[in-house]
Order: sequence, then C-alpha cells, then structure tokens
Amino acid sequence: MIRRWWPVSLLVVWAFLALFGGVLGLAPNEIHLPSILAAPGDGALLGYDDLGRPLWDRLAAGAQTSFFVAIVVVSASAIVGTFIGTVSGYIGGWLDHVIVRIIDIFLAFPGILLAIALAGLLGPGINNVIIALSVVGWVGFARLSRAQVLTVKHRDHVQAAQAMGTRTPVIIWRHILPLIMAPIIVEATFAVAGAVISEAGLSYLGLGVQPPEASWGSMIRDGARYLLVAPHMVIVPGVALMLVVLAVNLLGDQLRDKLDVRTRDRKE
Amino acid sequence: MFSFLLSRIFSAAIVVLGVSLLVFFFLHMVPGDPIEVMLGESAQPADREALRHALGLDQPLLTQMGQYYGNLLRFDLGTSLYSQRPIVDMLLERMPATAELAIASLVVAMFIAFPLGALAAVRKDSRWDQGAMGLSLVGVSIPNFLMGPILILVFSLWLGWFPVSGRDGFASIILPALTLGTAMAAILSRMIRATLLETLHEDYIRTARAKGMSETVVIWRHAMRNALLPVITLLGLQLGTLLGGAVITEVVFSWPGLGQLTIEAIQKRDYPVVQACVLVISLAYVVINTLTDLVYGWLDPRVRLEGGR
Repeated sequence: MIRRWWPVSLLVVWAFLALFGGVLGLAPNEIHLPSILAAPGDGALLGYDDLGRPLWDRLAAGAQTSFFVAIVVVSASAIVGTFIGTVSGYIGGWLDHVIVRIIDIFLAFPGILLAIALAGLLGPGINNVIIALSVVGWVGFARLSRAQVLTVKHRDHVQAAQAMGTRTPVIIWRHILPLIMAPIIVEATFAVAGAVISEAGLSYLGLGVQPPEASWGSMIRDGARYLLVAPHMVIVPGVALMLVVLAVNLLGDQLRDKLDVRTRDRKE
Repeated sequence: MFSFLLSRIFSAAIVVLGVSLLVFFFLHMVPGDPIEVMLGESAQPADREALRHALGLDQPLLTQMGQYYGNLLRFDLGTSLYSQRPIVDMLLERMPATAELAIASLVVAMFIAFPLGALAAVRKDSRWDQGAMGLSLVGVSIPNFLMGPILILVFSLWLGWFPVSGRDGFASIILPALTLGTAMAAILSRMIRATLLETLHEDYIRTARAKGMSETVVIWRHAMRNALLPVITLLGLQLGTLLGGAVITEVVFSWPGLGQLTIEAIQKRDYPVVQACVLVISLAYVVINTLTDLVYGWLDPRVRLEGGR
C-alpha cells in the first residue's frame, strides 16, 4: 500500500510547495549571519547554506522553480509535438517525409547538449530554460504520436468516418486522438522527470535561474564547494531532486501498467 | 548489403546537413546583436565592425552560409574569440579526454548492466529481480551532477582513494567513469532484462535445456548471444546520452574534455567555439549511430534485407 501511494503523495507535497509555498511565509533569501553553514537540527529544520540562508525555505522555493518549469515545458512539448506528429502521420506524403527528417535531425543532438547550447546562446534565465527544453522536448512526442497514428489510421471506424466525408481535423480530434492518448500520457509523465533533471542540470551549469532565486540544481552547485564542511548543502536538494524524479518515474511505470501501454501484446 | 549500406549513409548525410544547418543558425538565435553580446556594451565601434567582418555577419545570409560550408569542407572551424587560436586545434586537444571517458564509462556500464540484467531476467519476479530493477530505477533518478559530488564526498574526501578532480593518471578517471557508467547501466540493465526475457521463451532455449545443458551455458551461450543484437543498437543510442551527460560530468570533475570546453565557451560567450563543440559532438554521435546500424545489419541479415528494400 505504501509502495503504491508514496509516489503520488510525494508529488502532491511537491505541487503543494510549488503552488502554495507563498502561504507558508517562506524567506528563502533572508540571511542569518550567525547560522552560516549550520547543520540541520539546532532550531533550523534543514540547516543553513554558505550565506546563512535557511535551506528548508530555499528547498521550497526550488520546488516552485522545478514544478513551474516541468509543467510548462511538458505541456508545450506535448501539445506541439503531438500536433506535429499526428498531422504528419495522418496526412503522410511529402509533409511526413520532411517532418521525419526534421525529427531525425533533432534526435541527432546527444541528450541535453542542444538544450545547454540553446540556453547558453539565449542567455541565462528561467524563460530561456523553458524555451530551450521545449525546443528539445517536442521531438519525443512527435515521434511517438506519429508512430501511434500509423497503427490506428487504417482502422475501420476511421475509414468509416472518411467515407462519410468527415473533415480531417474532426477525424484526428474525435477518432484518432482518443486512441493514442494513453501512450502520450505515459510519455508525458516520464517527460516531467526529464524536465526536472534538465532544469536542475542547466541551473547547475549556471544557465538556469539566476541568484538569488533558488533552484535545486544551483543549490547543489553552491553546496559542492562546501562538501567537506557542510555536506547537507548538497544532500538536502539532492535527496529532494532524487525523490521527486524517482516518484515521477514510478508513477510513469504504474500508469504504463494501468493504461496497458505496450505490454498489452506481450501478455500471453 | 550494398543497398542497405547506401540507404543508411544517405540518411546519415541528410542528418549531418540538417545538424550543421541548425548549428549555423546558432549565432542568429542570440537575442539582439550577437556582436554586442560577445564583446560587451563598452566595446569600441571599430572592434565591433572588425569582429562582425571576421565572423562574416556583415554579409548576406546566403553568402554567410556558403562561407560556412566552404570552411567546414576544409575543416576550418574559425578561431576562438577569446584565445585567438584555431578552434580545430582546441577541439583536437580535448577530444582524447572525452573519448577516454566515454570508453571507460561504457566498460563500467557493461560490467554492471549485464550481470544485473541477466540476474533480473533469470530470476524474474523474485526478490533479486525486484531489487535489481529497483536499483536501476534509483540509478535513472540520480542525475550526474548529484552522483558526482556524492562519489567525491565518499571516495575522495572521506576515504581519500581517488583525486577530487582533474585528469592525471588512471585513478582520476575512475570516479567520472563511475558517475557516467552507473547512469548508463541503470537504463541498459532494464533493456538487457527485457530482451533476455524474450529470448528465453524461444524454442532453441527449450531444446538446449532438454539436451541437459547447464543453466549457465544456456543463458550466456544461447540466450545472451541472441539477446545481444538489440542491445547493440541500444548501446549505440545510449552513447548519445553518454556524450550529452559527459558535458555535465566533465564540469563536475574538471575533466578537460569537449564538454568542459563547451561550457567554458558558453561562459565566455565565445560562440564560434560553442558552435564547433556542438557540431563535433553531434557529428560523432551520428557517425556512431550509423556504424551501429551497419554493424547490426552485418550481424543480422534480417535487418539489412528489410532496410534495403
């Protein structure tokens, strides 16, 4: 039971901190000079960082950053990517050829490299992080939805709709999208994990949110300089980041089992 | 085989063209005037015009593109704004370090992933399986910039076994290779488990068992060999993630490779170097993927027959 519910519970806490963190009266930028590098305990929940700022407050502020970036990036990537992939797969022809080539080109950039370069060129800041991650993110959704459309577009009900003269946008919206939603939802869940890690990664490199704003990635970078004297500066944001990503991945696994994506034909 | 080779190389060429075109437009994506961003607001107008001319930004777009491809064909990637050195030299200097790290990480990943994946597949649904897959999920969820500092804290600062950073002798590569290798092993072990589970259902496995062969021989000789085919493709694809992840890992460990050069160039706004780094790393990835495809086609006739059709 705990195994089943802790991912969701943890994500609810994450979302709550992100959405209602303001209500808690947090002071992530308030400096307590006597508490510099103070370890957890001693009156402070999670200790203080190298400037004497409370880590708990910064952790909550960082939750806001990662949640906001993840939601915007995944929504934008999923909508744009699914639109492009579905239209390309359904209409086919030269348009499909061109789009498949474009997808191949974007996939040729290894991992997070393109996002790093784009964020670097656009200049640091959270908006540019969102742009960079979305430019990279749509490709996965486009490829997935195109492949899914190809498997359902010749089904009887689609042909019936075509024969009745239904307009193409209506066919895609009413008769195709509902059939390919499940894998896209699963993909979107895993994409949230990817976006959280990428945002933290860009902030770790100094390309994300700028000081004094908090991000788990920049907290880890700042803490890495004080590893020996104040390991909690890395451990606190690190554990938070890991738990959120782990929870999202577990949720993705659960959703995949529940929505029966891909495993359907393997079960005998 | 020949038509398969040709079609693979043709699509790789198109991808290379697209990648280089995208990289060409990098300078045009910089908001505002890229010259001002690179030199700062206080730069003299004469210096600005000199740089604008040197980068060809005062030319029409098509001329710029022509120059860019002309230079690429002559392996001329321009000069660094910061050090005034030819960028090709800088890249050649850094490449061995990145290649070394990639290979070492690959070795680490395979040493962890194969036993872990095999164990999980053979003892499917047992505690071993759950433990191995749980471990791999945790591995996927720990980013390189967290794994790195944790390894440094434990093995360098507390135990003093390995250097904290830099590239100096064999001991210095172990922690960065572990950081990248474990991340890759986490994904790889899941894939190995899945493909091995599929092959274990095949008839020839039952035959091998019926002949009274030992389970070790059945798994490593008969099942693993056939499960290896899809794993090879996945390894090729994973190398891309590895090269991307290497950028951050190199920064964590001050490893003097291409990734660190990329980040240094971004911080110094040395955009021609950023362009060159992204281009070279991506091209390496395209070449690796194409080679993987070709090897796969060579190993498995079914692939090349379908691909060449």
